[in-house]
Amino acid sequence: MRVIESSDQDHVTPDTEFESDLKTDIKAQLQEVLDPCSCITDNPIDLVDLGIIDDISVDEASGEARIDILLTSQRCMYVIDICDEIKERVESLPAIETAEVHQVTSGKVWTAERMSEQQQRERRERFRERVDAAGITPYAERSD
Amino acid sequence: MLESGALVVDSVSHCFNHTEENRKHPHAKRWDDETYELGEQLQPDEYVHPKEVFYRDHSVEELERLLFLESQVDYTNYHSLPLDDYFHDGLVARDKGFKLRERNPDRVSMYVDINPLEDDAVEQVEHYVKERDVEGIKLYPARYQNGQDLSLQLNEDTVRPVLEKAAELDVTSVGIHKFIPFATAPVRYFRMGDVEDAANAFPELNFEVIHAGFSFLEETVFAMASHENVYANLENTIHMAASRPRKFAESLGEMLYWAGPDRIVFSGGSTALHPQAAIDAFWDFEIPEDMRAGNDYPQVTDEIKEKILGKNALRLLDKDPDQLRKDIAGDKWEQKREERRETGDFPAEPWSTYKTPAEP
Repeated sequence: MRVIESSDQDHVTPDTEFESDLKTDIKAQLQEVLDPCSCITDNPIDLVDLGIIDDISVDEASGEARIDILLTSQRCMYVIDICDEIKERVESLPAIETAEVHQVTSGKVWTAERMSEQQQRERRERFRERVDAAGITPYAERSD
Repeated sequence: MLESGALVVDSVSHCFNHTEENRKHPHAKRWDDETYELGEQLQPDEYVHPKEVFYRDHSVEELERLLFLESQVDYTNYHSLPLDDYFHDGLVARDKGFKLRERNPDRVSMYVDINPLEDDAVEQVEHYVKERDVEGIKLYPARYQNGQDLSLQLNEDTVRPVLEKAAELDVTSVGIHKFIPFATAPVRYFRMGDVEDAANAFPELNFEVIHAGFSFLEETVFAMASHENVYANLENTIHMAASRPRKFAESLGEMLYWAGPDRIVFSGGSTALHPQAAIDAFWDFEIPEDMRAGNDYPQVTDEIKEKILGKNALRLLDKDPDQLRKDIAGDKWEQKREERRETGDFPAEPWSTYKTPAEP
């Protein structure tokens, strides 16, 4: 058993800056790919905001790119769709010949802390709004 | 029983059949393998099954030794599973649960699996409640039939008659698998919306959402906070106390903050996981200070832990703790435990009471 104390924060976030322009372009393409599960809600979220993108590497000479993804669940049934769209979008860049998508299976686990700070904040606000609308008082704040 | 004398009640145990001969569907092997891997990921190494122990048709005798000799569980609630679309015997057979209860009438309750798509599903509920004295029914949110994943949400017309019959017969609780998607069933089947609808429609029934805290946490705490008849059953989730402490802290902290400590129940997850791994990890568990301070999560006191490890489940099952103590005092398991205590062998080493290879 590997104890996961917290999410590794070395993944790609909306704030991640690359020295390579090409990696920046790849990240921009990945921000166009929406998480299929979130699309069944009213709040679609892209893969970078969700913290799915673990790493981007690219050989600028050959145009070979590799995208490492950490799924929210190893049992994700949309992995094929996600990989296909990543590949399609990244390969649409003129400087990219081929793009490969690798799933991280090292035991690292996705947690909500990998989501971008803005998404976490918005999600929390939506929850609070829903709770307020329902007139729910948290158990910990009840006086009776 | 805890050192404090508090009873430990296990709200889900199963007698799994992970043999090759039991697999009926192409995804069944994957199901077995992923269940094994879940144990590797969630439990300390010493609690992970040897493979020759895991991949077998677990017997009732093995389950009872696992619960009552290898762990501090005093009372268990056996859930059979309706997965005969994937496994010949449903993966967790009903008859083993009835045999377990027959052998241990003072230590076992039974939730029977019901497949609402079967023509006689309502009659089955009536039969098992009236004739076999089950406390609850166990449902799954999807079935695989004729090449398709079929939704069986609690707010659908196919399921409603089953719930109506359960309510009519004063069934204690409806256990519903959620949060951990399986095979090719769409993720939306594992969300909480239908539980809220059912909890509204059937206020006289209790709904135990199984694997609560694994995913869709906000939906779960919303349903719990707004419905007094929605319970969080921590099967598998509670093992994260050892392996994913911050994730578990968030799940438990949110439940305690929004819904309080009275509707959360422990499950050991036998035979897929080791119950003592969860008991040990949970008893030592504390929500990290930075998470408490930032989210107003309460301290997880011994009082709260005793509720989650037993008192809440006994209240849900309408069992008197003092009567249960009397009923099991001096029984064969208590005698065996006492013998082992004298030699420092209780709880017994993980999986040490299993025979390998499996007996035919």
